[in-house]
Amino acid sequence: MVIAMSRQTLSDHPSRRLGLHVLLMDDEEGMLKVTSLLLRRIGCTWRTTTGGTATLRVYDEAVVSGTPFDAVILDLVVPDDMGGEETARQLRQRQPVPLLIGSTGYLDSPVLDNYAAHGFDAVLPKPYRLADLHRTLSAHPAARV
Amino acid sequence: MVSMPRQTPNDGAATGTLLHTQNRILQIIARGWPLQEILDQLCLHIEQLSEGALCSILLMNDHGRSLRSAAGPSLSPEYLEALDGLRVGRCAGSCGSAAFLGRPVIVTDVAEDPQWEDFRDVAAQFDIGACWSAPFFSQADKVLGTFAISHAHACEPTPFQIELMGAATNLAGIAAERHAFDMAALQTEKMESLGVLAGGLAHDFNNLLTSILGGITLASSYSENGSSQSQALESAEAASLRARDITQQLLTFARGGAPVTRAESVQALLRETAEFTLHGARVTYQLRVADGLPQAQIDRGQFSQAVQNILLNAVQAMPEGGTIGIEVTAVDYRGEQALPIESGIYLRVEISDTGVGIPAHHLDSIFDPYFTTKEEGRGLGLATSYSILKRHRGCIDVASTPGQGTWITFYVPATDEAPAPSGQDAYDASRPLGLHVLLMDDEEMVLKVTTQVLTRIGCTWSTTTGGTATLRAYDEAVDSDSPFDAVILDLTIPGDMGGEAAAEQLRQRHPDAFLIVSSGYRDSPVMAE
Repeated sequence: MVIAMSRQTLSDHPSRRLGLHVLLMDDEEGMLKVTSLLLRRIGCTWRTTTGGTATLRVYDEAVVSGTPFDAVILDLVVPDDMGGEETARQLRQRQPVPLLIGSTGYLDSPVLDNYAAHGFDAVLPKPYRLADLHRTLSAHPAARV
Repeated sequence: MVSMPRQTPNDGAATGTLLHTQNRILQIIARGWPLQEILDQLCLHIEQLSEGALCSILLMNDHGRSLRSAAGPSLSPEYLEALDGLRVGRCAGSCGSAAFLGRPVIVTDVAEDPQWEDFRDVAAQFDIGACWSAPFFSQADKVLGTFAISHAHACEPTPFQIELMGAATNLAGIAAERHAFDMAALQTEKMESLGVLAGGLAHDFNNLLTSILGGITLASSYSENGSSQSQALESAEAASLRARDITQQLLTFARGGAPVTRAESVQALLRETAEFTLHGARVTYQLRVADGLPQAQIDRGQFSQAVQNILLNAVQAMPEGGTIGIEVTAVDYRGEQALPIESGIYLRVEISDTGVGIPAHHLDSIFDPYFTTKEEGRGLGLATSYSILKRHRGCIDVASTPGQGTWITFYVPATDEAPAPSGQDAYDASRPLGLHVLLMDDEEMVLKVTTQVLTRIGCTWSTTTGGTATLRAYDEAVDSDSPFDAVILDLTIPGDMGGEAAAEQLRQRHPDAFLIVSSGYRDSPVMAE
């Protein structure tokens, strides 16, 4: 007996260009650097910020200048500044609403288990691979998958 | 220190002195003296009230199967050492028997009594003629230990001496339970601060790992599939993911969290965990499951973690390879073995190895956090298993014979419930397929997604990335009595035997194998045939 299974629905190639404009917030310089490289690899453009206050400002400026962000990746915990959850809550009141992705290395954070209830469309537990980042961002309707 | 006037048992003032003893011991318990000193004082005070009495106190070990020497200030240290580790059971001297039966065992002549049969040499060597022992209990009626009065000659207790033993067991019970509470509180405190530390470490560590893993997968995406460069990156990626698992394990142990339990089939979960954990190890496993087992009431992830840690220990105990036996039976536990669990129906899982074994003096410590005999060990594995099973209202125990192997046995509560559906998916997961599937594909994403689907439809699985490994895995599974029910083969595998050739060879060796071919190339002629 032979059953055909299509792999087109299963596979996503990390090298595909997503063509999204992404805002990345993390308080760690090393994180920003590597994730920027990953974003470039999957065909995204990006900006980085190190805290919630700057994230809101950069997001609003981009809307005004006609280059809004499609997705925002937010570190959940940022010392001495607005963290990911509050930033996401404020971004959800903006127009347009970006794809909101929470990210954290606290793998026992309740946000990871129930991200929707915490205001996120998706989560990226740290550490993540190129393919994980690609898959998560592919959820955006504008992603050229 | 209060010095006690010596009283004869029939002296009218003796009751007053007993009262004084009780006051004194309660006072030092309340003041938080160390348990050892309280128990020593208790023995000395009782000895002063009873001519020729030699008191000893044994405490129950955590797993409830043996006693340890806790006090016996007037007895020879060698005798106490000989008592240490006394098994709880029938005919285990006065104390082992009293702890087992949960009632006093008065042996008036050690030389004659059958309960001392195994210990006559010890008795003769240390001049023990009579030994009266009584268990003491927690408020929840759990045996915490035994209090014994020994004499150098055969003799019966007087009513006053019986009264003394009653008072002494009361006091010892209060002291031991208070000590257990203190230890538990200290442990909680330690765990809380460890939890904070672990959380911070995991966060920093995972940030670093994100840079490492991100860099590796990025470099990987630029390197040619199957090249030596991409192979090197693959192993670095795998190592980074293992490092992530370690931080997660540390968190699981330190913070734990209440298990979210539901009815699960232990059989499927054990198989899946064994496949995953033993993949690539030089050991085989045999899963033996009794017929008609009930479901277990467990947290899937935590249970799997507990089993994984036990299996890893078994693998490390067998550097030359060997066989791990996993045996599952159902037991109706009615308190007969003094296990630290309530009465009820349990699933009993025994995991045995044929490895180096554990020396007797380490057996009591192997579930302690940070106890390890391995150079690279962190001592968290079995401690995690222990705390997970405890949170499930189950328990875990170990037996070992150095040079022959180790048997780890654990109990988890069973349930009458049918297995719960595992998702909001359209699949009817309450009717799991229960098949054991081998999946071959060179794309990690495909493996990942398909195995998730297989799990959801109630299948256990193993994966390979090429034809050569598929043939080997299939043969091994047949040899180890856990053959695959179905094989899903990707048609094209760069640099290795593809699905068609693998299917042909499998068919030759195993004519009845159930083979499914999968390809993204719909127009491949194989798909039509």
